[in-house]
Amino acid sequence: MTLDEKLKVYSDSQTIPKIDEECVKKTILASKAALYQSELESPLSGIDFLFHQIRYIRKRWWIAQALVLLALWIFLFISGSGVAMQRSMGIMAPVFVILLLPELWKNQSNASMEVEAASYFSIRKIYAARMTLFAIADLLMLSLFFAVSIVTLKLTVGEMIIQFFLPMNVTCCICFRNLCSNREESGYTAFLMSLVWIAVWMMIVLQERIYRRITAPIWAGVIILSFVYLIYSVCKVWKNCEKYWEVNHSWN
Amino acid sequence: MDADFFLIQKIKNGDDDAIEKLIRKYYPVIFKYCSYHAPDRQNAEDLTQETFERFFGSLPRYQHRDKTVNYLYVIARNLCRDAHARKREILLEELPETGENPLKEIEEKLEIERALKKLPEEMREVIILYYFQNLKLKEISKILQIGLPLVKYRMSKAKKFIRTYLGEEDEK
Repeated sequence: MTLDEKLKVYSDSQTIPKIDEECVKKTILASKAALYQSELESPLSGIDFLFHQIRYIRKRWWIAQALVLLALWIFLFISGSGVAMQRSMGIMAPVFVILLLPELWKNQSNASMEVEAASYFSIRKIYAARMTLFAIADLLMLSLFFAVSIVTLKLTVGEMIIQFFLPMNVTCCICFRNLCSNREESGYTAFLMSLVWIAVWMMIVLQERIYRRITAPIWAGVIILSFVYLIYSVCKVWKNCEKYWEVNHSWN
Repeated sequence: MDADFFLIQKIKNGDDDAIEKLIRKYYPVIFKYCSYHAPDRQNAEDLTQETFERFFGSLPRYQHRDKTVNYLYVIARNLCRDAHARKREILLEELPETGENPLKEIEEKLEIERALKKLPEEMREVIILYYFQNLKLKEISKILQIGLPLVKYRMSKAKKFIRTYLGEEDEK
Protein backbone atom coordinates (compact mmCIF):
# COMPACT_ATOMS: atom_id res chain seq x y z
CA MET A 1 0.00 0.00 0.00
CA THR A 2 1.34 3.43 -0.84
CA LEU A 3 1.49 6.10 1.80
CA ASP A 4 -1.42 7.91 0.19
CA GLU A 5 -3.53 4.79 0.42
CA LYS A 6 -2.50 4.21 4.03
CA LEU A 7 -3.45 7.74 4.95
CA LYS A 8 -6.74 7.36 3.08
CA VAL A 9 -7.51 4.13 4.92
CA TYR A 10 -6.61 5.79 8.20
CA SER A 11 -8.87 8.72 7.39
CA ASP A 12 -11.76 6.44 6.42
CA SER A 13 -11.30 4.39 9.54
CA GLN A 14 -11.72 7.43 11.72
CA THR A 15 -15.31 7.31 12.82
CA ILE A 16 -16.88 10.70 12.54
CA PRO A 17 -17.59 11.66 16.12
CA LYS A 18 -21.28 11.55 16.83
CA ILE A 19 -22.60 15.05 17.11
CA ASP A 20 -24.43 15.89 20.29
CA GLU A 21 -27.58 17.84 19.44
CA GLU A 22 -27.46 19.59 22.80
CA CYS A 23 -23.99 20.91 21.96
CA VAL A 24 -25.23 22.16 18.59
CA LYS A 25 -28.10 23.99 20.28
CA LYS A 26 -25.73 25.44 22.84
CA THR A 27 -23.48 26.63 20.01
CA ILE A 28 -26.41 28.23 18.22
CA LEU A 29 -27.47 30.13 21.34
CA ALA A 30 -23.93 31.21 22.15
CA SER A 31 -23.36 32.34 18.55
CA LYS A 32 -26.52 34.42 18.55
CA ALA A 33 -25.46 36.05 21.80
CA ALA A 34 -22.02 36.78 20.37
CA LEU A 35 -23.55 38.33 17.26
CA TYR A 36 -25.95 40.56 19.20
CA GLN A 37 -23.19 41.66 21.56
CA SER A 38 -20.93 42.47 18.66
CA GLU A 39 -23.64 44.51 16.96
CA LEU A 40 -24.21 46.45 20.16
CA GLU A 41 -20.53 47.26 20.41
CA SER A 42 -19.97 48.21 16.83
CA PRO A 43 -22.73 50.36 15.40
CA LEU A 44 -22.99 50.89 11.69
CA SER A 45 -20.51 53.12 10.01
CA GLY A 46 -21.85 56.33 8.49
CA ILE A 47 -21.97 54.93 4.98
CA ASP A 48 -23.65 51.71 6.12
CA PHE A 49 -26.23 53.74 8.00
CA LEU A 50 -26.97 55.86 4.92
CA PHE A 51 -27.44 52.69 2.89
CA HIS A 52 -29.87 51.39 5.51
CA GLN A 53 -31.82 54.64 5.33
CA ILE A 54 -31.91 54.41 1.53
CA ARG A 55 -33.61 51.03 1.95
CA TYR A 56 -36.26 52.55 4.19
CA ILE A 57 -37.00 55.49 1.91
CA ARG A 58 -39.66 54.52 -0.58
CA LYS A 59 -38.24 55.07 -4.03
CA ARG A 60 -41.64 55.82 -5.52
CA TRP A 61 -41.36 59.44 -4.39
CA TRP A 62 -38.04 59.89 -6.16
CA ILE A 63 -39.55 58.32 -9.25
CA ALA A 64 -42.51 60.70 -8.95
CA GLN A 65 -40.15 63.65 -8.67
CA ALA A 66 -38.28 62.52 -11.77
CA LEU A 67 -41.58 62.19 -13.61
CA VAL A 68 -42.57 65.73 -12.59
CA LEU A 69 -39.33 67.08 -14.03
CA LEU A 70 -39.80 65.02 -17.17
CA ALA A 71 -43.39 66.24 -17.59
CA LEU A 72 -42.24 69.82 -17.09
CA TRP A 73 -39.53 69.43 -19.69
CA ILE A 74 -42.02 67.93 -22.14
CA PHE A 75 -44.50 70.78 -21.60
CA LEU A 76 -41.75 73.33 -22.09
CA PHE A 77 -40.52 71.56 -25.20
CA ILE A 78 -43.96 71.29 -26.75
CA SER A 79 -44.92 74.85 -25.91
CA GLY A 80 -41.70 76.17 -27.38
CA SER A 81 -40.66 77.58 -23.99
CA GLY A 82 -43.12 80.43 -24.23
CA VAL A 83 -43.14 83.03 -21.51
CA ALA A 84 -46.37 81.80 -19.98
CA MET A 85 -45.09 78.26 -19.92
CA GLN A 86 -41.83 79.31 -18.35
CA ARG A 87 -43.66 81.04 -15.57
CA SER A 88 -45.78 77.98 -15.09
CA MET A 89 -42.68 76.20 -13.96
CA GLY A 90 -43.53 77.85 -10.65
CA ILE A 91 -46.38 75.35 -10.26
CA MET A 92 -44.28 72.29 -10.86
CA ALA A 93 -41.43 73.40 -8.63
CA PRO A 94 -43.47 73.27 -5.38
CA VAL A 95 -45.05 70.00 -6.57
CA PHE A 96 -41.53 68.64 -6.84
CA VAL A 97 -40.95 69.45 -3.18
CA ILE A 98 -44.41 68.38 -1.97
CA LEU A 99 -43.66 64.87 -3.16
CA LEU A 100 -41.09 64.67 -0.36
CA LEU A 101 -43.65 65.29 2.35
CA PRO A 102 -44.63 61.66 2.95
CA GLU A 103 -41.03 60.65 3.53
CA LEU A 104 -40.08 63.70 5.57
CA TRP A 105 -43.03 63.05 7.87
CA LYS A 106 -42.57 59.30 7.95
CA ASN A 107 -41.04 59.17 11.41
CA GLN A 108 -44.20 60.66 12.80
CA SER A 109 -46.76 58.87 10.67
CA ASN A 110 -45.37 55.37 11.17
CA ALA A 111 -44.35 55.58 14.82
CA SER A 112 -41.01 54.66 13.34
CA MET A 113 -40.36 50.99 13.09
CA GLU A 114 -37.38 52.17 11.10
CA VAL A 115 -36.22 54.24 14.02
CA GLU A 116 -36.29 51.10 16.17
CA ALA A 117 -34.35 49.22 13.55
CA ALA A 118 -31.84 52.05 13.41
CA SER A 119 -32.04 52.55 17.14
CA TYR A 120 -28.32 52.64 17.69
CA PHE A 121 -28.40 56.09 16.18
CA SER A 122 -30.11 59.08 17.64
CA ILE A 123 -33.12 60.49 15.89
CA ARG A 124 -31.00 63.51 15.08
CA LYS A 125 -28.69 61.38 12.99
CA ILE A 126 -31.65 59.73 11.33
CA TYR A 127 -33.01 63.10 10.28
CA ALA A 128 -29.57 64.19 9.12
CA ALA A 129 -29.18 61.01 7.09
CA ARG A 130 -32.58 61.37 5.47
CA MET A 131 -32.13 65.03 4.63
CA THR A 132 -28.70 64.27 3.21
CA LEU A 133 -30.12 61.53 1.03
CA PHE A 134 -32.99 63.69 -0.19
CA ALA A 135 -30.60 66.55 -0.88
CA ILE A 136 -28.23 64.35 -2.87
CA ALA A 137 -31.01 62.70 -4.88
CA ASP A 138 -32.81 65.95 -5.60
CA LEU A 139 -29.59 67.76 -6.42
CA LEU A 140 -28.73 65.11 -8.98
CA MET A 141 -32.18 65.20 -10.55
CA LEU A 142 -32.32 68.97 -10.63
CA SER A 143 -28.82 69.34 -12.01
CA LEU A 144 -29.70 67.01 -14.84
CA PHE A 145 -33.00 68.79 -15.45
CA PHE A 146 -31.37 72.23 -15.46
CA ALA A 147 -28.57 71.15 -17.76
CA VAL A 148 -30.89 69.45 -20.23
CA SER A 149 -33.40 72.32 -20.16
CA ILE A 150 -30.81 75.02 -20.70
CA VAL A 151 -29.34 73.15 -23.64
CA THR A 152 -32.45 71.84 -25.32
CA LEU A 153 -35.03 74.49 -24.45
CA LYS A 154 -32.73 77.48 -24.72
CA LEU A 155 -33.78 78.73 -21.31
CA THR A 156 -31.47 81.09 -19.52
CA VAL A 157 -30.01 80.29 -16.15
CA GLY A 158 -31.72 83.38 -14.72
CA GLU A 159 -35.13 82.22 -15.91
CA MET A 160 -34.55 78.77 -14.47
CA ILE A 161 -33.55 80.24 -11.13
CA ILE A 162 -36.47 82.64 -10.91
CA GLN A 163 -39.17 80.42 -12.36
CA PHE A 164 -38.19 77.11 -10.84
CA PHE A 165 -35.55 77.37 -8.20
CA LEU A 166 -37.13 80.22 -6.22
CA PRO A 167 -40.63 78.72 -5.83
CA MET A 168 -39.02 75.38 -5.03
CA ASN A 169 -36.86 76.99 -2.39
CA VAL A 170 -39.79 78.72 -0.75
CA THR A 171 -41.72 75.44 -0.69
CA CYS A 172 -38.74 73.78 0.99
CA CYS A 173 -38.74 76.55 3.59
CA ILE A 174 -42.43 75.90 4.25
CA CYS A 175 -41.87 72.16 4.62
CA PHE A 176 -38.87 72.37 6.90
CA ARG A 177 -40.42 75.09 8.99
CA ASN A 178 -43.44 72.87 9.57
CA LEU A 179 -41.20 69.91 10.30
CA CYS A 180 -39.94 71.95 13.26
CA SER A 181 -43.46 72.07 14.60
CA ASN A 182 -44.64 70.13 17.64
CA ARG A 183 -48.12 69.82 16.22
CA GLU A 184 -49.48 66.52 15.14
CA GLU A 185 -50.95 67.74 11.86
CA SER A 186 -47.87 69.64 10.73
CA GLY A 187 -47.61 67.47 7.60
CA TYR A 188 -51.02 68.56 6.42
CA THR A 189 -50.23 72.15 7.33
CA ALA A 190 -47.11 71.99 5.18
CA PHE A 191 -49.13 70.60 2.29
CA LEU A 192 -51.83 73.26 2.56
CA MET A 193 -49.34 76.07 2.93
CA SER A 194 -47.52 74.81 -0.16
CA LEU A 195 -50.76 74.95 -2.13
CA VAL A 196 -51.37 78.49 -0.91
CA TRP A 197 -47.86 79.38 -1.97
CA ILE A 198 -48.49 77.96 -5.45
CA ALA A 199 -51.58 80.13 -5.74
CA VAL A 200 -49.69 83.22 -4.56
CA TRP A 201 -46.85 82.52 -6.96
CA MET A 202 -49.18 82.06 -9.88
CA MET A 203 -50.87 85.36 -9.02
CA ILE A 204 -47.50 87.10 -9.10
CA VAL A 205 -46.08 85.64 -12.28
CA LEU A 206 -49.21 85.52 -14.39
CA GLN A 207 -50.11 89.11 -13.71
CA GLU A 208 -47.89 91.00 -16.06
CA ARG A 209 -48.16 94.35 -14.29
CA ILE A 210 -46.98 92.83 -11.00
CA TYR A 211 -44.33 90.67 -12.61
CA ARG A 212 -42.77 93.53 -14.58
CA ARG A 213 -42.34 95.59 -11.43
CA ILE A 214 -40.09 93.01 -9.84
CA THR A 215 -36.61 93.89 -10.96
CA ALA A 216 -33.50 91.73 -10.93
CA PRO A 217 -32.16 93.01 -7.56
CA ILE A 218 -35.49 92.19 -5.94
CA TRP A 219 -35.40 88.70 -7.36
CA ALA A 220 -31.83 88.30 -6.17
CA GLY A 221 -32.74 89.52 -2.69
CA VAL A 222 -35.71 87.19 -2.45
CA ILE A 223 -33.64 84.24 -3.63
CA ILE A 224 -30.90 84.94 -1.11
CA LEU A 225 -33.46 85.39 1.66
CA SER A 226 -35.14 82.10 0.79
CA PHE A 227 -31.77 80.38 0.82
CA VAL A 228 -30.82 81.79 4.19
CA TYR A 229 -34.18 80.87 5.67
CA LEU A 230 -33.93 77.36 4.22
CA ILE A 231 -30.53 76.83 5.83
CA TYR A 232 -31.89 78.20 9.09
CA SER A 233 -34.91 75.84 8.94
CA VAL A 234 -32.79 72.80 8.14
CA CYS A 235 -30.43 73.58 11.02
CA LYS A 236 -33.38 74.09 13.33
CA VAL A 237 -34.84 70.72 12.34
CA TRP A 238 -31.55 69.03 12.97
CA LYS A 239 -30.86 70.70 16.31
CA ASN A 240 -34.32 70.40 17.77
CA CYS A 241 -35.51 67.10 16.39
CA GLU A 242 -35.15 65.48 19.77
CA LYS A 243 -37.87 67.75 21.04
CA TYR A 244 -40.20 66.74 18.28
CA TRP A 245 -43.57 65.22 18.43
CA GLU A 246 -42.67 61.55 17.88
CA VAL A 247 -39.97 61.59 20.54
CA ASN A 248 -42.19 63.26 23.11
CA HIS A 249 -45.02 60.98 22.13
CA SER A 250 -42.86 57.91 22.52
CA TRP A 251 -41.70 58.97 25.95
CA ASN A 252 -45.32 59.55 26.94
CA MET B 1 -21.69 34.49 -5.06
CA ASP B 2 -22.32 31.19 -3.39
CA ALA B 3 -25.21 30.07 -1.20
CA ASP B 4 -23.36 31.22 1.89
CA PHE B 5 -23.30 34.80 0.60
CA PHE B 6 -27.08 35.00 0.77
CA LEU B 7 -27.10 33.24 4.11
CA ILE B 8 -24.65 35.77 5.51
CA GLN B 9 -26.73 38.64 4.16
CA LYS B 10 -29.82 37.20 5.84
CA ILE B 11 -27.94 36.91 9.11
CA LYS B 12 -26.75 40.51 8.85
CA ASN B 13 -30.35 41.54 8.24
CA GLY B 14 -31.44 39.87 11.46
CA ASP B 15 -32.68 36.46 10.31
CA ASP B 16 -32.16 34.12 13.28
CA ASP B 17 -33.04 31.01 11.29
CA ALA B 18 -30.17 31.71 8.95
CA ILE B 19 -27.76 31.58 11.91
CA GLU B 20 -28.98 28.13 12.80
CA LYS B 21 -28.78 27.01 9.16
CA LEU B 22 -25.17 28.09 8.86
CA ILE B 23 -24.14 26.42 12.08
CA ARG B 24 -25.86 23.15 11.26
CA LYS B 25 -24.25 23.21 7.84
CA TYR B 26 -20.67 23.52 9.09
CA TYR B 27 -20.76 22.14 12.60
CA PRO B 28 -19.85 18.56 11.54
CA VAL B 29 -16.74 19.49 9.55
CA ILE B 30 -15.45 21.95 12.13
CA PHE B 31 -16.15 19.50 14.94
CA LYS B 32 -14.29 16.77 13.04
CA TYR B 33 -11.37 19.14 12.47
CA CYS B 34 -11.25 20.15 16.12
CA SER B 35 -11.39 16.48 17.11
CA TYR B 36 -8.02 15.96 15.45
CA HIS B 37 -6.49 18.61 17.66
CA ALA B 38 -8.35 18.31 20.92
CA PRO B 39 -7.37 15.77 23.57
CA ASP B 40 -10.94 14.65 24.10
CA ARG B 41 -14.48 15.04 22.91
CA GLN B 42 -15.40 17.69 25.44
CA ASN B 43 -12.52 19.88 24.32
CA ALA B 44 -13.44 19.37 20.68
CA GLU B 45 -17.00 20.49 21.38
CA ASP B 46 -15.74 23.53 23.28
CA LEU B 47 -13.37 24.45 20.47
CA THR B 48 -16.13 24.06 17.90
CA GLN B 49 -18.48 26.23 19.89
CA GLU B 50 -15.84 28.86 20.36
CA THR B 51 -15.07 28.82 16.63
CA PHE B 52 -18.64 29.71 15.80
CA GLU B 53 -18.85 32.25 18.61
CA ARG B 54 -15.80 34.04 17.26
CA PHE B 55 -17.12 33.89 13.73
CA PHE B 56 -20.44 35.46 14.65
CA GLY B 57 -18.75 37.91 16.99
CA SER B 58 -16.79 39.25 14.05
CA LEU B 59 -19.65 39.00 11.54
CA PRO B 60 -20.39 42.75 11.39
CA ARG B 61 -16.87 43.22 10.01
CA TYR B 62 -16.91 40.07 7.87
CA GLN B 63 -16.61 40.57 4.11
CA HIS B 64 -17.67 37.55 2.13
CA ARG B 65 -14.84 37.08 -0.33
CA ASP B 66 -14.20 33.40 -0.11
CA LYS B 67 -15.89 30.26 1.17
CA THR B 68 -17.27 30.76 4.65
CA VAL B 69 -16.00 27.35 5.69
CA ASN B 70 -12.42 28.41 4.96
CA TYR B 71 -12.81 31.32 7.32
CA LEU B 72 -14.19 28.96 9.94
CA TYR B 73 -11.18 26.73 9.45
CA VAL B 74 -8.87 29.69 10.03
CA ILE B 75 -10.60 30.49 13.31
CA ALA B 76 -10.65 26.85 14.37
CA ARG B 77 -7.00 26.46 13.51
CA ASN B 78 -6.01 29.46 15.58
CA LEU B 79 -8.00 28.10 18.50
CA CYS B 80 -6.62 24.59 18.16
CA ARG B 81 -3.03 25.76 17.89
CA ASP B 82 -2.46 25.48 21.60
CA ALA B 83 -4.67 22.45 22.03
CA HIS B 84 -2.93 19.27 22.94
CA ALA B 85 -2.36 16.60 20.31
CA ARG B 86 -5.28 14.38 19.95
CA LYS B 87 -5.15 11.19 21.86
CA ARG B 88 -7.65 8.64 20.99
CA GLU B 89 -8.07 5.24 22.44
CA ILE B 90 -9.14 2.84 19.85
CA LEU B 91 -11.65 0.52 21.33
CA LEU B 92 -11.97 -2.98 20.03
CA GLU B 93 -15.72 -2.44 19.61
CA GLU B 94 -15.02 0.35 17.11
CA LEU B 95 -13.09 -1.88 14.76
CA PRO B 96 -14.85 -2.71 11.50
CA GLU B 97 -15.62 -6.29 11.05
CA THR B 98 -13.27 -7.62 8.43
CA GLY B 99 -11.66 -10.90 7.79
CA GLU B 100 -8.27 -9.34 8.40
CA ASN B 101 -6.44 -9.39 11.62
CA PRO B 102 -7.89 -6.43 13.55
CA LEU B 103 -4.82 -6.12 15.72
CA LYS B 104 -2.70 -5.54 12.64
CA GLU B 105 -5.00 -2.71 11.66
CA ILE B 106 -4.74 -1.22 15.13
CA GLU B 107 -1.00 -1.37 14.89
CA GLU B 108 -0.96 0.37 11.53
CA LYS B 109 -3.30 3.05 12.81
CA LEU B 110 -1.21 3.62 15.90
CA GLU B 111 1.92 3.89 13.81
CA ILE B 112 0.35 6.52 11.60
CA GLU B 113 -0.91 8.36 14.64
CA ARG B 114 2.51 8.32 16.21
CA ALA B 115 4.02 9.54 12.94
CA LEU B 116 1.50 12.35 12.76
CA LYS B 117 2.25 13.34 16.33
CA LYS B 118 5.94 13.55 15.56
CA LEU B 119 5.34 15.80 12.60
CA PRO B 120 6.02 19.51 13.04
CA GLU B 121 2.80 21.43 13.59
CA GLU B 122 2.71 23.15 10.20
CA MET B 123 3.19 19.90 8.32
CA ARG B 124 0.65 18.01 10.38
CA GLU B 125 -1.87 20.73 9.63
CA VAL B 126 -1.45 20.20 5.89
CA ILE B 127 -1.90 16.44 6.22
CA ILE B 128 -5.02 16.81 8.36
CA LEU B 129 -6.63 19.31 6.04
CA TYR B 130 -5.81 17.38 2.88
CA TYR B 131 -6.32 13.78 3.88
CA PHE B 132 -8.79 14.00 6.74
CA GLN B 133 -10.83 17.07 5.90
CA ASN B 134 -10.63 16.39 2.15
CA LEU B 135 -9.79 19.95 1.20
CA LYS B 136 -8.03 20.98 -1.99
CA LEU B 137 -4.52 22.36 -1.92
CA LYS B 138 -5.75 25.80 -2.99
CA GLU B 139 -8.22 25.90 -0.13
CA ILE B 140 -5.51 24.80 2.28
CA SER B 141 -3.30 27.58 1.03
CA LYS B 142 -6.06 30.13 1.77
CA ILE B 143 -6.83 28.73 5.20
CA LEU B 144 -3.19 28.61 6.25
CA GLN B 145 -2.54 31.92 4.49
CA ILE B 146 0.52 30.61 2.72
CA GLY B 147 1.36 30.22 -0.93
CA LEU B 148 0.43 27.11 -2.89
CA PRO B 149 4.07 26.12 -3.49
CA LEU B 150 4.65 26.18 0.25
CA VAL B 151 1.62 23.95 0.83
CA LYS B 152 2.97 21.45 -1.69
CA TYR B 153 6.41 21.67 -0.12
CA ARG B 154 5.08 20.97 3.36
CA MET B 155 2.94 18.14 2.02
CA SER B 156 5.89 16.46 0.37
CA LYS B 157 8.10 16.97 3.43
CA ALA B 158 5.39 15.56 5.68
CA LYS B 159 4.91 12.49 3.53
CA LYS B 160 8.65 11.92 3.36
CA PHE B 161 8.84 12.19 7.13
CA ILE B 162 5.99 9.73 7.62
CA ARG B 163 7.52 7.27 5.18
CA THR B 164 10.83 7.49 7.00
CA TYR B 165 9.10 7.01 10.32
CA LEU B 166 7.17 4.02 9.06
CA GLY B 167 10.43 2.59 7.77
CA GLU B 168 9.37 2.58 4.15
CA GLU B 169 11.46 2.92 1.06
CA ASP B 170 10.91 5.98 -1.11
CA GLU B 171 8.03 5.22 -3.39
CA LYS B 172 6.08 7.13 -5.89
